[in-house]
Amino acid sequence: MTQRVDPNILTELKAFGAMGIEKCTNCGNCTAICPMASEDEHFPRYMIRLAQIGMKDELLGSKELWLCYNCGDCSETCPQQAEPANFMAAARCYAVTHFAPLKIGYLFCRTPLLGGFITVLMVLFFGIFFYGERQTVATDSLKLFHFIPRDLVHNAGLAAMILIGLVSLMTIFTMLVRIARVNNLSFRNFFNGTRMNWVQAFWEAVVVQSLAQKRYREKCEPSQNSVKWYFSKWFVHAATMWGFLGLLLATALNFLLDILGVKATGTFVPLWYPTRLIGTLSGLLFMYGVMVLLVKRWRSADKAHSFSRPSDWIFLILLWLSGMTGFIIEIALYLPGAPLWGYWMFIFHMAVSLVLLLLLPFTKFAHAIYRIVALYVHALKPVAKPVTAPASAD
Amino acid sequence: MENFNVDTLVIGGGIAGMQAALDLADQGFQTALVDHEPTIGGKMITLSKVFPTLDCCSCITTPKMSSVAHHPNIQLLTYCDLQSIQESDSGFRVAIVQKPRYVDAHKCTGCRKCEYECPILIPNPYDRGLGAYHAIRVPFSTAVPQTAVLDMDNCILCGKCEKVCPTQAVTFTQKPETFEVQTRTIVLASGFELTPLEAKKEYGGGLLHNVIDPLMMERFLAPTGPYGRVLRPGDGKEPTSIAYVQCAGSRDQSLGVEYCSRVCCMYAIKQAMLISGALPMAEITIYYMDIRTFGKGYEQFYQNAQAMGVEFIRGKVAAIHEDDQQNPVVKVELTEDGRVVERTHDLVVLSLGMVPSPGSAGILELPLGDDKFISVPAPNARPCHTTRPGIFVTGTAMGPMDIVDSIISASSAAAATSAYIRAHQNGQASPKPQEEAVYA
Repeated sequence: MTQRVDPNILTELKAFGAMGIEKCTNCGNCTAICPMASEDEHFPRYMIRLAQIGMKDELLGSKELWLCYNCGDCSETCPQQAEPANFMAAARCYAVTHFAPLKIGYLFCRTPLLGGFITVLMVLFFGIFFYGERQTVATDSLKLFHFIPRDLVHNAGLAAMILIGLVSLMTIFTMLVRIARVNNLSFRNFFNGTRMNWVQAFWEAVVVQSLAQKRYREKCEPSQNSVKWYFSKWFVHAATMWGFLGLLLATALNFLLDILGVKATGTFVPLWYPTRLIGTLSGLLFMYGVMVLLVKRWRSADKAHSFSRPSDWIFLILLWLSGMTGFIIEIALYLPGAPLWGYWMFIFHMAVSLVLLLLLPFTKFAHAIYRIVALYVHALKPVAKPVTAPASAD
Repeated sequence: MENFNVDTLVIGGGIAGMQAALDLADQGFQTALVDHEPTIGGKMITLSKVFPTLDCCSCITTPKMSSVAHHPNIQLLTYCDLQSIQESDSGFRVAIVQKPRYVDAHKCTGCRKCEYECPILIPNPYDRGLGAYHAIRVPFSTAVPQTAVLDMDNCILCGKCEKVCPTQAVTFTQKPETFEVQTRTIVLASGFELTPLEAKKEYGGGLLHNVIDPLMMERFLAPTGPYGRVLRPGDGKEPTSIAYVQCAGSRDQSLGVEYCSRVCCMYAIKQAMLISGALPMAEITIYYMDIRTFGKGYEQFYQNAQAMGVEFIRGKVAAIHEDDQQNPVVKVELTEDGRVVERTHDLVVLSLGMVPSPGSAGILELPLGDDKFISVPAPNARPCHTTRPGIFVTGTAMGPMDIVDSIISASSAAAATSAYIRAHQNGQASPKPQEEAVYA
């Protein structure tokens, strides 16, 4: 089979932040120290090698890129200080820009000023849009969904969800095609009798590894320094993710209650009301996670955080802003006398949250999609030997 | 001791220092050789064989040690520390402290009766702690000078040695003695140390029972060694599977040692060959990043080892741990197959690199290079000249090198020193120094 070689890939990857990777002598220390590497899935050295010899398709179609949780052990022990962990992060960023349509990811991975500018512009755009749609301000109590009509908020949210859903499907498809080609997976497997653990792999990828973070929790704490469990990598990440999912759940439930006519969105509810309670608790967890992540990144706390791409920052800052504004609104809700800033914060909150969702396939947020796909392929195995396929016509 | 004048003072009695001293003394220069150990011989006297000829190390070193001791133009100063150096009109005034041996060097005949009587045994550093010697002893059988030395830190003052000594040489009341040497030139040959076995946490930090340094292996292989055979130190078992971890102390920026130590590939190959002779059934594996066999006859040596069945695996060992039988388990990527494996061996030798000896650079006020070895400003034009006129450097004090190169470097330093002394004789002005820019 012919292989297309892209001699520029190393230069391109360096622009994504894989500094120092040309120092790599392929000694294999990184792979041997990596807690995730196994007989079949060996990285980071192999990934670096692919980049060095220009095997772009192989690199982009590697599920291994997404099996790395960036513990930083490889960079810590690299004899050449070639920063393999940083290379893996850069390569993931590179993959994100290649999977997502129109290479929009370029803006957020490579151009901090332009990426930041566009993000701010989008927030401003939606802010102004919602401001233009504002209604009268109630002064007796905070009536947010009268201020911005309930239906408008719901429709904007739904439209954004559908849009990113479609884009995500496209990116997942792109990635699957690439991964399948590299890993010799084919839809023919469906028909020639190879039985794969399709369902079990899905459970493994989504529940065991993504929601429960099994491998992350068990293997990926950096061995160099011991930290308290509440600062451990996996817990901080899990807090952020579970918090985010909790907030998403609370929002979805609210919407459901509205559709079912149980409770119109925007009705005043006490703090212990189930959806409000879920939202508040998730929000606290979420804010804790995001803040620790921000501080770690700001301080370049360890090898894994020694270099940050614009997309890392934009993602985290958007997360923080949406969480923070949400809490300010909640405080405003329970304060007497409907403070006016509660309304402005509501506009800001919606604008930021919309931008966060819309940018999902293009920023660091995209890992939520790609990791699951990679973990799925990782978990996919033939369950039995293929039964002899009937002789085909050709 | 009386103060005295010499033409040159050689610091360090290893192979480079001895060679430089002999070359200068043979030309008629009055030479003093100072070493902080009670014997000369340096690291080389503890080695088994030299590469690539597999000649016996003792057979090369011992005659040189004797020549140094008996040369009419060489004043041997063992067990001495440098105290200070001052520049003077005709060179340098060096203050030297003779550490107390608690044995009168003039009376001691080296009969070793004291040693046989001494009840105290302590780990023998010349055997890398694998064997033991007594609190009072001649350091080893071929030590030069054959003068006993007493280790006061471990002595229990039982007095047995004093009673048994036929010449009443043992004197417990000896004090350090300071004297001055006036010298025209100094040749620094302070040598190297191994990177510490403990340095790399991933390799067990020196705590694994059967992970040893290469100088230990030299002692196992040397005919003068503690056991006369290859054993693993953890339980005395004869190893059947031995692994070498190359670049364990060099070319590793996580250790702060960026340079290649230049000798590790060759000594590992040499030891592998010697082990093949000592333990014909043993399987020997060398894990490497690159094999650097650059010297004359070295590549052939490497190919011979391959032909002898030594297994060479390309991959940097990332971590070593121990299984419940104290067998070291190495984790490595076989980069040529693209597989990560854990392999269990009986004995692992870390091919540690060279770091500069914490020697006399501070006292001599010589600048160090990025690698912490003595800086040589014009290595191509004047390979042994330091930044201070009249002070020359040779051997592994200036950077990692093997025995062959050390000897070449020593003769080179001797030639440079000789030229310098002659140029400054009879109050002549120094000749115009060569234009460094042209050669550097």
